[in-house]
Amino acid sequence: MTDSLRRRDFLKLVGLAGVAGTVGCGEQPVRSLIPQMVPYEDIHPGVAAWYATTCRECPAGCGMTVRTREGRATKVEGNPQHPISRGGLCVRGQASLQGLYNPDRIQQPFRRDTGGAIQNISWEEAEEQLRERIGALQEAGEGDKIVFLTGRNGESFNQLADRWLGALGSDRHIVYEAFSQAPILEANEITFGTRAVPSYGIAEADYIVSFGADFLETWLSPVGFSRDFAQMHAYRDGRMGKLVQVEPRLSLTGANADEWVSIKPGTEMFLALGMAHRIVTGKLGVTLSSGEAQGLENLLAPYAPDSVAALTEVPGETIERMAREFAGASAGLALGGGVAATGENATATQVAINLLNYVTGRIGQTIRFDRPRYTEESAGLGSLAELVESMNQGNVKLLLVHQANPVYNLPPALGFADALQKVPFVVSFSSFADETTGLAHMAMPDLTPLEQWGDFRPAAGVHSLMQPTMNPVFDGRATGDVLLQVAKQLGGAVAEAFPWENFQEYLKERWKETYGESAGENFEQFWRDALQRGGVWDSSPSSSSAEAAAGAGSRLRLTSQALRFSFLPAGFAGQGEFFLHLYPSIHYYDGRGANRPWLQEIPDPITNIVWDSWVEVHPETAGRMGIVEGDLLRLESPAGSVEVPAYIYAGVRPDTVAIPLGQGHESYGRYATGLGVNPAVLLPAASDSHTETPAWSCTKVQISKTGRRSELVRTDGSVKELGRGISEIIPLSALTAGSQGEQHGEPAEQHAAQSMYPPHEHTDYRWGMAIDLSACTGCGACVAACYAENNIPVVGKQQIARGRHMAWIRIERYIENIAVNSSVAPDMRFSPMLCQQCDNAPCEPVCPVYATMHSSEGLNLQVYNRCVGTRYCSNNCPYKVRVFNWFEYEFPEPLHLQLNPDVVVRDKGVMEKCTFCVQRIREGKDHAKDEGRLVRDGEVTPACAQSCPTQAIMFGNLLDPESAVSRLSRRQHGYHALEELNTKPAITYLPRVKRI
Amino acid sequence: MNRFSKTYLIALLVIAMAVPGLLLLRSPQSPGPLQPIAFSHRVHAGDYQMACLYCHTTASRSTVAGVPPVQTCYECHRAVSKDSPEIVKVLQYWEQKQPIPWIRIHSLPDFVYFSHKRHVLAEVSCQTCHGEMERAEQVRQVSSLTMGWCVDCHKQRSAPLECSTCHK
Repeated sequence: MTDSLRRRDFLKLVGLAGVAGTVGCGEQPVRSLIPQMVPYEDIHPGVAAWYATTCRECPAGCGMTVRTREGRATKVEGNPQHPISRGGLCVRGQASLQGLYNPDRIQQPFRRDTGGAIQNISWEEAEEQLRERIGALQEAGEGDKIVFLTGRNGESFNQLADRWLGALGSDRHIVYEAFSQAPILEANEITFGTRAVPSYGIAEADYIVSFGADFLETWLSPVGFSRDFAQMHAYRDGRMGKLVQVEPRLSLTGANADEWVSIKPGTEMFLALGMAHRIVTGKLGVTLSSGEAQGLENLLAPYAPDSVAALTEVPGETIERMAREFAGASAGLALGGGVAATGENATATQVAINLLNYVTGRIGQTIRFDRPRYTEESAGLGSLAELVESMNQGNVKLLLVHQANPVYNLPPALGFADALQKVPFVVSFSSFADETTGLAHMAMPDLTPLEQWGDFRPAAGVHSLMQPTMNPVFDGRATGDVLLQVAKQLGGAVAEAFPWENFQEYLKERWKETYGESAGENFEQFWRDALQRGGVWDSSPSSSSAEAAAGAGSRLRLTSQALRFSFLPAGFAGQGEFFLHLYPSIHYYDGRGANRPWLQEIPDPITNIVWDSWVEVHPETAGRMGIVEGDLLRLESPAGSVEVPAYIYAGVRPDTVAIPLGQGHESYGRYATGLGVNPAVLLPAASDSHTETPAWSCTKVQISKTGRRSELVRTDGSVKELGRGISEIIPLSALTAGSQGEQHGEPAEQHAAQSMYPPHEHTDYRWGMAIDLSACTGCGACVAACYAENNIPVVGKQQIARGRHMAWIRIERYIENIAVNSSVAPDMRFSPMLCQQCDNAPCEPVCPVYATMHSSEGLNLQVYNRCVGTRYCSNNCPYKVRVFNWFEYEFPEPLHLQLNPDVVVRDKGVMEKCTFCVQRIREGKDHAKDEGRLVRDGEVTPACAQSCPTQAIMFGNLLDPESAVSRLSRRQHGYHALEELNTKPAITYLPRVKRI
Repeated sequence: MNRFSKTYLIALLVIAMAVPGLLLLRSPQSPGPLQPIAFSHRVHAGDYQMACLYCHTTASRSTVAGVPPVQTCYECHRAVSKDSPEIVKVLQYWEQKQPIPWIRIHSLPDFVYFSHKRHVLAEVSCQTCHGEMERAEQVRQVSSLTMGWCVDCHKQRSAPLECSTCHK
């Protein structure tokens, strides 16, 4: 207290301030109630409106439904009718909302002046500038110097882009995807003379050998494949399918496999050839014509298991066994893909896998070319290398970049960024200020997929539609509309070639052309139905066995080219000690997911690391070099170097180190910029020798310790489950023999009668859940769905390091046992952990203010406005599923528009938790009450269960003995987590059936 | 008693006296704020016996009753007493395609879940909570809308009393 203000005066002031404060509180803030001008047909205040559209977060093209409230999208879910995803949606799909509402979206077009400063301009100015540029080029006869670089788009957009370029005198439309399927197309052309990616009968297979294909994570169609895999891998009638994963680094897909074959990087091809050799020479496979048999024997002669064992470092007996098992399987399937099969011999690897499938008669059985997944091709590095050269030579005067970020995800060694500087005018259509936009002269921000019209063909016979689910959040414009507008302004013949008012009209017209006949007279009705359904499709592309038999007729023969094919080993640049294995992250994919805060906040399924990059080092290597987790390592290759913290992981070979792709952005908004490293800088400009797609597995690196540390933040506590009965397995042999599962804890019966409290009475409902750990792949889709549905805040790395992660559901990951090249299955366990809604809940009796209450329907309610934040409940919860709001968390504008209005945004000082999505239960009961009945089984689905690609989570009423959840909960081996505590959870776990 | 505690006491007294007055200000006795248009429920719901749901269309099918779109006003008033000064204002809003910025009277905290639909379908009259709107010239809050007030009624009518009925 200073002399000028005495204590007495101070107190007077305090008193007055108190009065003033009270008066201030008395004035209620004026809140407006803004009516609609004209009522919308399908938007009613307080009622959700759903729109079907197509997810465009990766090239899989899953069907999605979007829940909107009062005209804004609040939640996306899988479209149950859609043949690709069949109701599930992955973690990236869930986070598409955070692309839509990303606070760092480009909000309006801008121009970069000569000094590099950004000047915002109007759309009219931007379109005029583009028109001027094009006009000048046309006048100079340089229309062919216009290049359009796009990601993989829908057919309608592609056709429009081609047509538009054509009208300007160019045919240089280059499609670029970082993870290209070009090697598969090329290999199929070489082997069978058909240029298509077939459909893979994962669901029907009983034995899958996957050469690096991470089909549960990013490869081709992870959501659909996860569902297929769960079906294939489910235990029924004494049998379950087997998955053997061949890869140098155990991926999430590998963690779900029955066997991990840890192979020397780049030699997958030889293993496939070795198996084929054994099958052909041993006559284990199908009968081949004598010419083919002879040709194959000659082709495969160098690949006897012994020599292959030396090349691949896979034991000869394993090769022998795999060959026998694969050939003996009634429906075997060999897959090749993922980063492990994208070396310089990517196409050769796919050819080898084709041969393996061929000699066992899988073509036409589990591999169906009569129902191709797709036939178009994304550009290989070849055309991009050509583009770079062309740019350097000054043959590109105008470059338009749409849905691609090559400056970030192409290896810098390719020189794309430098070449880009030589292009006089670069226009970026990106919605985000990414690295490529950073080098562009003008940005014309595209709308996000949730705001615009479009279509997409994820597989043959599936024509998926996209429609705007809400008005644009910012002043963006759909690129299709911009193309049409600029064409109109160019006038003359160009304008005449584009008579459509906007892209929507164009799209509809195109659909009318395609479906006019099948739609019959009433195309309008057909169009509305298609929009409502999410598109048009014949039937499920995953074939039934009857269809498979019919497909056998379309069996293909080997080409003569295939029989002459030379399998050259993959090259690795540099003299480093370790192979560098770069893999697409399940969260960030090719880097596009990195600016979604949920994807940063949700831990990586394998490492449980958040908000970071890491390099995976085998414990043996780490021990030898004295590396511990968090040590900052310097990785050097001939192309460059990065510094990245170490994570010790037994699932990577001792001679290999692995880094996930997708982080290390220099410019991609506040959530991605400056986080982690982009390991692409380590890659030399190498490519697959047949298709020239970028090679991700092509270099060796040298590791050195920098002596510095960079702490990794992980959300797991103990790496091992330690027999606590949280995540249990049951050996397949035990099931077939009918014995009991793994013993855990003390038998629950001892405590059954010892509760201090009388049991709860439930009248109509007791909500419960059954989680099938055999189906759970650990992908984390449920976690993202929960974040979206329940307004869960993102707290960031620092807070997570202090244990303040806010997720209501987490995937517990335990690494029990992983051994390189052992026939023992990797024992990595995943189990979703969420509030168990105990009937004998430890949290309830300790709350001093009754904020946590037991409902008559068996839910442990948390009354947020009653909670005073003692945190006793959390201390007393054995499952650690209650989280506390340490701060007032922010949802930076416009991310706050995503908040679900049916769920409270919790304040500082309040405990929060999973409620089985009580708002959805309320909604379901509301509908049921309207009809004077009880809620039907399956009518209410919590967000986690809805999103699960494998339907591992089943929710329902335990009082209804016929409900799906009751039937599952009664299964013989079902258990409760920490059962010996007698908490009587409402969640029953079904142990993972393990082939031990 | 020294000066220090005396001042303290005075300050406390001032606050203690101010609080009841302020509560009075916020009480249901206040006439309610002036709205951008002097809309009279008495005329519409009283004199002309218009059903509440004619304008508040979603009350029976949504959590919110819904404030009528400007079009609803316009549909009648394009013909009915279009020269009265207040209606002129309505028509101006319509012509300028501006929504009428009504001042919100009833506002429940974010942590309360309330469904108009369930109450309307349970045949709780609108007047039970909103008072005799058919006599009101100006809208004001007549019920406290506090938890105790809700629970009293739920008890009387044997309506659900579970926490999750209103809090989730």
